[in-house]
Amino acid sequence: MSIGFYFDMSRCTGCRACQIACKDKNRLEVGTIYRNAHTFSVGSFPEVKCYSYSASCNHCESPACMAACPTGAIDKREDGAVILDREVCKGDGACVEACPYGVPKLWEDGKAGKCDSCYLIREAGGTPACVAACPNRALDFGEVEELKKKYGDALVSDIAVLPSSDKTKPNVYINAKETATETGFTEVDW
Amino acid sequence: MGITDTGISRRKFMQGSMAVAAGAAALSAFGCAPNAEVKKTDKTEAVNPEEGGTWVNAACWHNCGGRCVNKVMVKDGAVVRQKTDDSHEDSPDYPQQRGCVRGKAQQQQCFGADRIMHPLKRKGWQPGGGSNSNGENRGKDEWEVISWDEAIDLACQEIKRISDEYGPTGFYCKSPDPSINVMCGCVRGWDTTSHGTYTLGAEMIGLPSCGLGNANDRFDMKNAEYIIMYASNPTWSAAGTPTYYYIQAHEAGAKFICVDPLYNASAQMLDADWLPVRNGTDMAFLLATAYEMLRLDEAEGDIVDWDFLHTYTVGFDAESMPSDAKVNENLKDYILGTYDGTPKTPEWAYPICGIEPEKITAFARIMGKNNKTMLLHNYGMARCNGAEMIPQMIVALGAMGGHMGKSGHATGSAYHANCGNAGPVLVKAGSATMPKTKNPCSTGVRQPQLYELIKNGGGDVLDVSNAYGSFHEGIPTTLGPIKGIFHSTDATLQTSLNQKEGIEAHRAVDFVLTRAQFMTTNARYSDIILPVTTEWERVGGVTSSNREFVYCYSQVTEPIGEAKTDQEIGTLLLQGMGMDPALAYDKSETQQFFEQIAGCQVLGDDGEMKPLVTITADDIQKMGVEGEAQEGVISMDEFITNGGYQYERTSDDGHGFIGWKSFVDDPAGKPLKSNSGKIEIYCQQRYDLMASYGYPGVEQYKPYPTYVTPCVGYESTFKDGKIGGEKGDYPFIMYNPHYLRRSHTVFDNCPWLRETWANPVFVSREDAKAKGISDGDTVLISTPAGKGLRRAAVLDILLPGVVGVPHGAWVDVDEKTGIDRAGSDNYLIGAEYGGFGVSGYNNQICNIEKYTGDALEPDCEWPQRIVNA
Repeated sequence: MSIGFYFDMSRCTGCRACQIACKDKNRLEVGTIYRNAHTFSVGSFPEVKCYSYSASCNHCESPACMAACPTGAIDKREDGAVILDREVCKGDGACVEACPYGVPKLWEDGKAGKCDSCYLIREAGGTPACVAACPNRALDFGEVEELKKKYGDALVSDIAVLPSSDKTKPNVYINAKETATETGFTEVDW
Repeated sequence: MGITDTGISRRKFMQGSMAVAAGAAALSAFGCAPNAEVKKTDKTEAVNPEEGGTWVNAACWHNCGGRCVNKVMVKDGAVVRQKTDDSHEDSPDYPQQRGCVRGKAQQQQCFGADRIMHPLKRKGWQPGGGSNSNGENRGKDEWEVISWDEAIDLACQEIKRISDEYGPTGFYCKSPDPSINVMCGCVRGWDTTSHGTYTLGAEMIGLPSCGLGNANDRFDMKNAEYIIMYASNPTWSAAGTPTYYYIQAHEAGAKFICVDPLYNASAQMLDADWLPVRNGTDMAFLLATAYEMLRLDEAEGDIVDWDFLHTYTVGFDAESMPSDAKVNENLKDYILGTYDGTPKTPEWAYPICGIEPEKITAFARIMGKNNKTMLLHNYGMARCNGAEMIPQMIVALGAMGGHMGKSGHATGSAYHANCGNAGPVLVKAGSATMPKTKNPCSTGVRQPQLYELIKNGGGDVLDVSNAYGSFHEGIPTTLGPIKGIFHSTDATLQTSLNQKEGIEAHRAVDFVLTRAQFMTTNARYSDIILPVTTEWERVGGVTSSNREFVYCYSQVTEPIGEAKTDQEIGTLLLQGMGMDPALAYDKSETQQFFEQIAGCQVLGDDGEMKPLVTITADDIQKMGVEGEAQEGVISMDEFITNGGYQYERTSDDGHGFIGWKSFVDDPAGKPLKSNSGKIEIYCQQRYDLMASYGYPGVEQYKPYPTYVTPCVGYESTFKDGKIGGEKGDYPFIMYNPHYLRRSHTVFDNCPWLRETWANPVFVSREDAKAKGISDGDTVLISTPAGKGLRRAAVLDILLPGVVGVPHGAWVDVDEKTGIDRAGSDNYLIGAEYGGFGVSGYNNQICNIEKYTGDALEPDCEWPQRIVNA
């Protein structure tokens, strides 16, 4: 069984509501971000297209963070969620280095932390905070097979701003705009 | 001590907030990491961090454009988490009222480490006026904590003195509250703020007040083929559900066109075609579009809806002039060049507005009568110098295509919570009846000019308005000195233009009294600061949102520190003045909350509004209020627990709305409010009122839309004021887009939002290259009015020649250099005006250069403004 995120690029304005919802739920201080949304442009004025992408842990089939962790603090749960136990973490930082998506973050206390797919909220019957927060309903979460059934087969895990999915087999399923496959992108850092 | 430079660092926010809340309740859960408790093995029972907490519907009350659901988990008196609407299953027809990025950080407002906890007095200030006030030290002085008794005594002593000597005109307040009206009164400032030139006589044209409310409802958006987003970016300016309606129209096949100097976030998502019209030159673009519609109609036919024009409008052509016209001219002949020999062709418009002629032609085709086109505007183009006739021109263009009163067609505004969802309310909030108070002074002064008046100790003004969106014939008035300033419920010194002179004016008076939660701009330049609660610390309230939803919020926490509510503060001030507080407040805030609930209404099956909430004698007794039981459709308990009431809509529920339809169906029986009862493309009444003010440049105007040279605008970027000539010292157009980090000024201090939205200056790639500016560089923005700094966001999605200074950053002047480190938009704008005195927020002029002084750090790393008094 695998769980993962669905992201509908055609519905994302890059408003970053997901980013703050995640910071809130995880009580993260300034400097530590588990989910973020970025906006990219392709082309130059006035022939320009844009898209936004909301990124967090992809709860990969082959989590590089877990493979790299020397203390066994990272675990892939039965449902596929990749969880980092901060009590076990010794702050080695190997996961931060290993993840091609840059997901785990070192806290000021030296230990790492990352998205746990709001495991406890889900256990209590809820939805990950970012998904529930999205004003445009651009995010969803669930069993991968269910997501594919719900959103169709045209979903991709590779867009120009992400590393190749070959490495870790990420469970992120994107309804991508065509523009998002073009490599000549620029971040709109506004 | 002053505002700390070494106070609580950003990383100490959590601890800082704990300290803040400690006075009210322990904030024990704040800072814990829930996922630390997800144990590695499944054998360990997972602990839900929310266990033991209670979800409370929390207020979200700012001038942001939304009224969305904001729920907070309160545990041991502290807020440990927020979430948005989950009160019913979400569907496109019956959407949850989900909030935006800002509301999710609301906890950092209420519980911010930078909350003002106690009444403060500026050390150098003493009552008595004159040199006692040491006014020049406002904004520089240190603060001392004083008791509420001292604060009220000092304030009332000073208010009495000024009131006795100068009367009501001795004071100024932008938005006086009841206590100010009763205590002393004040001169008011007027401003065209949000709706720009739509604040002047929109009804005279035949539009609703401020142009609000005559588009179609959300279900009909799906019937459009083309949706023009004119100066419109709902995701930043109409947070909440509106963007979701646009998504649904997009998914139903509508094609979007964005008219905006910035390829904005909404347009990006919708893959809109982009027409980057240069700020403040919209009239040239719109006139040329009309010219092309006429040309195409002549050449090919079926573009202009002549029947519509001749049935529903006056002043478009010679055969449809209104009876009160004093000038025998019309829009069509002006466009064709009959009067000035200049046809308003796309080639004429191109050097002004920057849109290539073929794109104007394509746009004219989209506006043609056989397309289902919705022309939905926000107001950025009306917040420009010289934009007085934009309301008439936009409605004229919509009328040329006949895009009114029909499904799939619209001409109207897309603003705030009603963006993309116009129509009469299906459910509405009640209100408490309070004593009517009257300001003994009716004089209103154009806000930016008021500062000069204060500095000059009074002078002659033409009083033309003292209420928003309402102008009257000019009343010549001579004002004496203004000695006292009140800031009660607004952020005037930050949100009004001419801020630099505003600071000087604040330093020129005897006394500035401010209510504040933080060391805001208003607070910083004050003498006494009274700590006021946020809505989270009050008893609760009900607010109207969009037409389908009312929000009911409850108290989250006891007041932080010594903060008091507005009513408590007003009561103390009135008592201090020896007046009866009941003149302003005659019932408790709980009673007011009850009346808001009891007064809520919902549309009944019979088409009449009727009570929404069922109230029993038991409810009344439990709440400890006075009232009568009533029958509604939801129990009071449920209403409060659910956080309000949403009217469940379906596409065929009969509550769909088509703007203008009643007038279009029956123009004689349901005339508009204009003199002719029709849409006045030529409007004598509005022109006469505006011209009577005699403001600079008004001689250029006609009673119908024409292109005028603004007092400050694109022309001003050229040395000789002629487009196409040599550029002058301020070669760029500067404008102030709304920014998602804050609601005007509110939230600008929240660390999470500072980190998430960094407050840069928007610079086009082409201009950045020419100026040697890279992403993240510190940029000095210079204007005739002032200088400010921001970090550069170099964009491929901004029209070259335009500089965007997102609105609302809290001014932070370096007293040595006079440079504002926050890059406050209004610090960079002066007081120039023309036409009818519109505030030209969006077509100012500036220069930019790479700053050679110390680079700015990201402002989420700046110390918070914590008063160490």
